[in-house]
Amino acid sequence: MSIILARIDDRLIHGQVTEGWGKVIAPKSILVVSDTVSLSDWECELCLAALPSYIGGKIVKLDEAVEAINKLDSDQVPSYVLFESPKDAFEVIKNGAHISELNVGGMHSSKDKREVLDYIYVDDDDTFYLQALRDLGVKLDFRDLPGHNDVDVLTLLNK
Amino acid sequence: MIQGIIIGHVDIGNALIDALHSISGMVEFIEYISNKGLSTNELAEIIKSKSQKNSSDGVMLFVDMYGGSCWRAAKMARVPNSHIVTGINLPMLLSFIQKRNTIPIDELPAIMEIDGKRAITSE
Repeated sequence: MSIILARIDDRLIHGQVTEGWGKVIAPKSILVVSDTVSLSDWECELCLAALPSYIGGKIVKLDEAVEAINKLDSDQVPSYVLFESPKDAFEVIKNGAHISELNVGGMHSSKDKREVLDYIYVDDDDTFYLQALRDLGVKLDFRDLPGHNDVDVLTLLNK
Repeated sequence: MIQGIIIGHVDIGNALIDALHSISGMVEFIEYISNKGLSTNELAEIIKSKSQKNSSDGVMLFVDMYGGSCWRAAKMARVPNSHIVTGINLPMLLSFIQKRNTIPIDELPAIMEIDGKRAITSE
């Protein structure tokens, strides 16, 4: 069984991740997969500032992510892996990251996105890559917090 | 006048401003932004646009939690002539309303920190 919780959340490290999900899997490390954040030292610092001292944090680019995730998996380190978007998650999983289940917990509003749930807003790209993830065989679990019910967003989108 | 903007989770900013009004009467140049449903980038854009309306005397950005997405958005907004204070509470905001007319913007953040902490006690 995997001890990695993989999640799509554009807020990356924030309270829902460290507190809400922290009760389910006490992570030793959080791996943030983001080309945009890793470009800037300042943004990396902002991103990791929210981490409690007992959790290690690391930010990797998309092309470094497969190796980093599979190492956490083989070392059996309880970890969270955070992606900013379905597209990023799809690229990394397609390229061989050992992730069979993906929590979709935060895709917040921005221009040209439509609301599906109060924490899920999508555009055509998002819909395409969520479907592509499911087609890859990844189990998608749509919920912001562990105590909430899984909502089948893809079925809602196809209506 | 120095503008105050509360940036916080869900309805906390709205509730704090309601409480301020109930204690001090109507208060101007203080408003709130909720993070509800917003990406960090979009929240940063809203902070920027609200700050531009009245930024000549400076802007104090009051954030509910250090390190959270509201804090990150406040940093990313890079508002000119602004300061960020985290861990807001009602006494801190009351102090802001009283002192912002007499104390320059650059000296206010340290005073907010002291006044906010002074209000936290235990017996």
